[in-house]
Parts: sequence; structure tokens; C-alpha cells
Amino acid sequence: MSIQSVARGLGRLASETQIRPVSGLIIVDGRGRVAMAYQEYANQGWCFPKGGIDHTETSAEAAVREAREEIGLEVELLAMEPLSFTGRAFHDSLGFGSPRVARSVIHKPVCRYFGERHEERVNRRAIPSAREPMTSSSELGPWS
Amino acid sequence: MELGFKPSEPEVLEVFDATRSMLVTWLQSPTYHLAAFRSHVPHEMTGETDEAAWVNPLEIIKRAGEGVMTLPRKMHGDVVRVAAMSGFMKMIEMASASAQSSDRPGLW
Repeated sequence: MSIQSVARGLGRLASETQIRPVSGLIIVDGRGRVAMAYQEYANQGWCFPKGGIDHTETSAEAAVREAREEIGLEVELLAMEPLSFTGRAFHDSLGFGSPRVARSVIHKPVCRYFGERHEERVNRRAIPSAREPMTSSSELGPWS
Repeated sequence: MELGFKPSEPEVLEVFDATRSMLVTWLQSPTYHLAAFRSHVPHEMTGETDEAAWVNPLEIIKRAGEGVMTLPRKMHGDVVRVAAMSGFMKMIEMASASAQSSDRPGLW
């Protein structure tokens, strides 16, 4: 395969809608409350914790990881069919599709954590991974 | 995809850097899992969130039903969509029965 055919393949990627599999959680506590995260990044607003699925993990594994990384909660997934639907389309860079890249471009040193000020130490996952190759939708395979 | 040749690491990084900013149309395909709270682990956070809070699900349903998309700041469309699904409150009740109670205050 030549560099020209690689370039043609990239051109095709740019012209097709890319599917971004996302895994999220509805986390409930014993008082019947749900956990929500407010994220200014990408104008998310108040959302259930969620994020892109790495190509080495299942949707369920990604959900548990996102619970720790995005909202700082340890959870137990319940045996119930997850809710899936088609979300919104948006324009962004191809690199955004790599969950690791998305993680690397934002880092809030301080957040309000369930009523208390919390200082982040360092975005550990972002530093070594910012230059990892992206994962295209065709390479991701089944994600449920 | 089989390339038929093995690019060197600098070549891979060069292609990656050249394409990561290429604009494409993304379509989100979210899957939401139901989970029971076990414990707080704020030290595991990686800095993507501005604020974390417990929210009364009835408040979400009420606001969504009134077409109010704020909580009080903007609420993500997925939240409204999930809250509008039939059986949402039953899911919450089921999960709550097996979850730990957090001692942290909620927004309401």
C-alpha cells in the first residue's frame, strides 16, 4: 500500500459521518438521587457522566472507568439492558474521535465536587496518550 | 486495516498529527448503563468536570416536562431524553434499593 492510498483513505474518512460510540451511566444513590456532572467543555452542560469507548474495552468497562474519571464515584453496574439511542451530530476534528485525545485537551485543576472544592492533581491518562493513534469507527467494531 | 508495510513510529506520529485536526461530522451513539453508588473516589478524577452533584430525578422530569433545559445552567439533551423514557423512575427506584447512600448534599 502506498502513501497515496493512505491519503485516499483519509479523504474518505473526512467525507463520511463518523460514529462515536459513547458509554455513560445513570448513577443512583440510596436516597434515590442521580449523579450529574457539569462540563463546560464542548458546551455539554449538566450531563450524566459519559465518554468515548477505548478500543480495548467494552461499553460496560468504559462506563465504570468514566464514573471514576469524570465524577469520582465507585459504582456497581446493575444487570439491566442499557439504554441506547442515536445522539446528536456535530463537527469536530478527527482527533476528537480518539477518546484519549479528547481527554488530553481538557484539564480542570479545580472542580466543585458534591458541594466541596476539589483540586485535581494531574490528568494522568492524558500525558502519555496525547499522541496515540486515533481509532476510526470502522475499527471499533461492536460496542454494546 | 492491513497497510502492507510497517511504518516507523515517527511516520505514524506524523500522519496522526497531520490528521487529528481534520474536520469531520461525528454522530454520537450513547449507551447508558444503570449503576448503584458505592463510594466517593474524587482522587480518581482526571479533570474533565467543572462540578459534580446529586440531583433529584423528579426535578429533571419536571423541568424537562416544562421544556426548561436548565438545571439551572444548561442541561444536556441526553439527560432530557433519558428522563423522558417510560420506566425511568422505576429504574431509579430499583437502583436505589441496592445502592449506598451518599452523605453529600444534593442540588435540591
